[in-house]
Amino acid sequence: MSKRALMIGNSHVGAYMRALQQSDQDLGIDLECVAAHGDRLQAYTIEDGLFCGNFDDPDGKAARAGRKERARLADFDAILVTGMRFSIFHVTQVFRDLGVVAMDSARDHETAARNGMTLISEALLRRIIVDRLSNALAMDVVRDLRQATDLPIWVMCQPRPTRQVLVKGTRFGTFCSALERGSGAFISETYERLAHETCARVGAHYMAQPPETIDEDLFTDTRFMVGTLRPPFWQKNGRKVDFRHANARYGERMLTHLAAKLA
Amino acid sequence: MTHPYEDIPPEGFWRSGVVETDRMDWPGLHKPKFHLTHTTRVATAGSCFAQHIGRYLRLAGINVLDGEPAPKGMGEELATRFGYGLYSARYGNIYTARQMRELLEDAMAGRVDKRLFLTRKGRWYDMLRPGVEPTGCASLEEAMELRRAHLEAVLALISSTDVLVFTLGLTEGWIDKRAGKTLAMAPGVIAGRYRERRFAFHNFSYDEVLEDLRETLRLMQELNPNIKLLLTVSPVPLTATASGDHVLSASSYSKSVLRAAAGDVAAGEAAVDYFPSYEIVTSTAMAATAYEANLRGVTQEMVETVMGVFLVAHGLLDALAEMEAGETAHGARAGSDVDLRGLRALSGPAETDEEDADVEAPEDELICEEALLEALRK
Amino acid sequence: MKNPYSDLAPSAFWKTGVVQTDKTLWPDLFVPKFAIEPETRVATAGSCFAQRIRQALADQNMPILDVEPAPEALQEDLAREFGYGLHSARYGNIYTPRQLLELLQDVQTGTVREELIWQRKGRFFDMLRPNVEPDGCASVREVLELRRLHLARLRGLFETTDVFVFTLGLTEAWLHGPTGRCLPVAPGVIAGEYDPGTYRFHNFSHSELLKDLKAIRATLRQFHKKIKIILTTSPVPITATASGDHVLNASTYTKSTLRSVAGEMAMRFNNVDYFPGYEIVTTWARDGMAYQDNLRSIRPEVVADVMAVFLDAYGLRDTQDSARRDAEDPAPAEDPEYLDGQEDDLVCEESLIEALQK
Repeated sequence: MSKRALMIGNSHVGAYMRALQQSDQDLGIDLECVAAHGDRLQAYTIEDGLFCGNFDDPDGKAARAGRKERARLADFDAILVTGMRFSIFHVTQVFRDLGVVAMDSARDHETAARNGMTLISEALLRRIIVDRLSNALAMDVVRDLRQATDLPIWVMCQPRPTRQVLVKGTRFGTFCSALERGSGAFISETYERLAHETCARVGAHYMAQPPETIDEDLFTDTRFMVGTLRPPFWQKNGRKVDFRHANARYGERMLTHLAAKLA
Repeated sequence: MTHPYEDIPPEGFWRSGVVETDRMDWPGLHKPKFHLTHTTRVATAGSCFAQHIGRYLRLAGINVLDGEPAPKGMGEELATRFGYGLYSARYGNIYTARQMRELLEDAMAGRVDKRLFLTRKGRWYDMLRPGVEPTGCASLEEAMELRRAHLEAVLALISSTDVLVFTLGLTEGWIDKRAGKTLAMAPGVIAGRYRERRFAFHNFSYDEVLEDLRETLRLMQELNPNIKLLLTVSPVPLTATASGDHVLSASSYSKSVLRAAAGDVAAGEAAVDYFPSYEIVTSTAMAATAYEANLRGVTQEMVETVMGVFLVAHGLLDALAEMEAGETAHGARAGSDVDLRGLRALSGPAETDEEDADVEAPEDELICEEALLEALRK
Repeated sequence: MKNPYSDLAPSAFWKTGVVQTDKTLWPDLFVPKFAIEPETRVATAGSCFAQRIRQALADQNMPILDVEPAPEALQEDLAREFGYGLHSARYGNIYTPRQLLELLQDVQTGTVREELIWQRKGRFFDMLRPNVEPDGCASVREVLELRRLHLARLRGLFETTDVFVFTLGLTEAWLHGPTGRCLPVAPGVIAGEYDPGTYRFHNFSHSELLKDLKAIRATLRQFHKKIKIILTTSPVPITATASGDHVLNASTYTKSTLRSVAGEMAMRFNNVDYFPGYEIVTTWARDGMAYQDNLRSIRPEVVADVMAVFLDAYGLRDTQDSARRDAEDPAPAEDPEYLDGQEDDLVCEESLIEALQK
C-alpha cells in the first residue's frame, strides 16, 4: 500500500513531482502538492485542518502542473516540506566571515584572520546557524503544521548546488571561499547536523541529502541536476542554466529513502 | 553547581534584605560587636548628628557621661548655646577625625597653644571650639585657662568611658599652618580673619582619615585600655564646599571617604564597631521623607527610626518599653511589638510641636557651626 | 570678617547648588577637565552601568570604539547575549579595578592560562569572562584561542583609545587561589563549582583599589601616552554580599569606597576625571524616584537625565534628536516586566546571584 503524503514547498518540489511521473517502479508514495515559487507561499493559512497556500494562480499554471492551492491534512499519512529557504546556502554565508577552531582554516585566530575570517565559538556558530535555519519560511510552515496535526512531518533536504557556483557569471563567493579554505567537509557536516537539530526542535524529521548525490561535500553531483530548468534561472553565455534544482533522479532517491522510513 | 551564596542569610541579598524587609526596623542590619547596657558608660562626640545619638541614648536610660555639665542654675537653652549638654564634654562639634586625634594629643600633653586663639571685636575665641563660647572670652588668658580645664575634663572623660560614640561629619577642614592644627571652623566665620598665608584648606583623604581614626583609638586605649569606639557617619550633607567642586559631588565624596574609612577601621579593630545610621537615612530605598525641606536636616521621624534600630540591636528598647509598660500594665507585653515611634513621646520634643510648629524649621534643634556657612553665601 | 567662603560660586553651597537648582540639568555639577570632541575615540568598560554610557555616546553618533563588533550574521539579541556591543570589546562586565588591571597585563604579556577555565557538562568556560559565551566552548583549546583573539584585539583598542571611560561597580570579588586571579563572578553562578580550598572571597579596600587604579593608569599610558580616563561609580546597589554584613551596609561600604577612590584618582591626576552620575542617581535631593521597584535598576528616564548631563558637559548632545527619540519611545516603565527590573536591557552577571537565593 502506498503512503499518501502532502508535499509543501516551492520550486524544489519539482524533483519529486517528476520522479513520480517518470519512475518506472512504484516508489511506495503518492504525493499531493501545495507549492508556489520562491516565497510566494508565505501567505499560507492552516484552518480547520485545511492547509491553504493562498497564492495567486491567475493563468492556472500551477493547476496545470498538478499543484494544488489547498489540501486537507487528514487525507495524508505524512507531510513533506522542502525548499523555502531551508538550505545550505544560508549556512555557507555564515562561513564567509566566521570560523571556529575546529576548522583547519581557523585553527587559531591568526590563521583565521589570514583567511579573512573572525574566530568565534562553535556554540555561537551553532546559534547563528540554528537561528537562520529556524527563520526560514519552511520552519514557519513546520511550526504551524505541528500545531495543527500529529502527522509525521519530514523536511526534505534542498539539494546543494552544482559546481556551477564556482564559475564566473554564476559565481557564489561563499562556496568559492569555502572550497579555497578547504572547509567544505566541515560546512557540510555542520549543515546536516544543525538541520537535523533545527527540525527536531520543531517536531519534524529531517531527510538529509543522500551521500551518493553529493560531490565533494558542498555540491550536488551534476547527474542529479541535469535536465532541470526552473525559474529563477540564470543566463550564462546566452544559455539558460539551472544549478540549484535537482532532477527526477534526485527526487526518486529521496522518496525511496523516505518510503523506507515511513514503512 | 555549588556556589558560595548558598549559606548567605536573607539579609545578605538585596531583594530580601532591602526590598522585602521592614524598612523601619531593618532586622539584621546592625549586629553589634559589643553590647551597650544600662550600666555602660557612654561618651559622645562628633558632628552635629551625634547630638541626636547622645539625646536618644540618654532617653533610653543609658549612662551617657557628661564631663563638663552645665553649672547649676543655668537655663537649659543658655546651656545649650554655650555648648553644655550637647556632648560628653564641651568640645563642640568635632567634624573631622583629625580634630579628634589632635584633641586627644593636646589633652594628653596638656598643651594649649596661644596661636590658636583669635579675636573678634576685642573678644577672644578658642579656634578649636569657637562655638562653645559664642560671645568669646574677655582675654586670651581666660580663653586659654578655659581650654586647659577643658583638656583636663576630656582626659578624665576618656579615662572613665566604656564606649565612645564618634560621628564622622566632614573631610574638608582648615588648618592653621603655623600651629599645625585643624580648626573646627573656617577662619572668619565665627572669629578671626581669613588669610591665605596662614590658613590652608585641606580635604582629608581616605588614608588620612583612616590613620587619624587608628591613632585616635590608640591614644584612647593608652588612657583606657578597655575603651571601645563606636563609629557612625553623619548623613547630613555639606553646607558648602571649598574644594572647588559642585557641592553635591563634594558632599558625596566626603561622606564616601568617611564611610569607607569607618568601615575599614571597624573591620580591622576588635575594639571598634560601626553603626549604619548613615545607610538607613541615605538609602535610596527610603522614601524622600528622610530629610527636611532644606534637604540637609534629618527629620525627627527618621532619627527615631535610626535610633530605634540602634536600641533594638542593643536590646535596650525592650528594657525601656518593659519599664514603661510595667508602670501601666504590669508588663503585659514584653515590648517586642512596641512601636518604636513611641520614642517620640519619650523624647519629649513636645515643645517643638508647640513652639516651633509654624516657625520655619530652626535648622533643627542641633547646634551646627558648619551650617553657619550658608549665611556666608553672597 | 574675611572668610574663604565669601567668593565661592553658588554651586558650592547646598542651598543654591542643590535645593534651589535645576535637578534635571544640574548646572555646573560636572565641569570636565578635558574635552571630548565628536571625533575623539572613546572606549568604555566596567560594570553593567557602563553599558549605559556607551549607549548614550553611541546614540550621539560618537565614534565609540568596538574592536570586537558583532558579526554581520548575528541578530541583535543573540549578539548581546554573547557579549557583543555591550562594551568596546567582549570583556563582559569588569566589576573591579583588579580585573581590569589583570586584563591589561594579560594583553601586554599575551598570557592565557588553562587553569582559568571552568568545566560544566562537558562545556568549557573562560573564568575571566564566562558570560560572553553563555553556552560555553567545545574544548579548552577553543577557550584559549578565543581568549588569544580577545587579547590581540584589546591591544589595538588600548593603542587607539583617546578617552577610556571606566565604571566602578563592586569591591566584593572572588579570587582563584591557584592563580590569584580576580574573577568577574563567583564560581557556580554561570559555571564552575565552589570549593573553599580553590576560591576565596575578597573585599577590596580603598588602598588596594587606589593602587590598582594607579597601575591601570600607568599601564594604559604605556599603550597610549595621551590616553585620558573618566571614572564613574555605578549607582546600582549590590545584589548580594558575601561579606557577612547586611546587604544595605555592605552595598553602602562598597559604593562609598569606590566613590572615594575614584574621587581621589581624579584629584591626583590631570588625565583622570570623575563624572558624578552616581550622585545624580543616588541623591535624596532628586525630584522623582531614581530606581525601579526592585530598588536596584535605574529608571530609564533617570539614565537619560544622567547621560544628558554628561553629554551637555561636553557639548555633545543633539537636543533635537534626543527630543524626537524621547517622543517616539514608548514609556518602558509601564511594562510590568520592566518594572520588576527583570527585563532591564543591561547584561549583568552579578544580578544572576539573585536567582541563587534559596
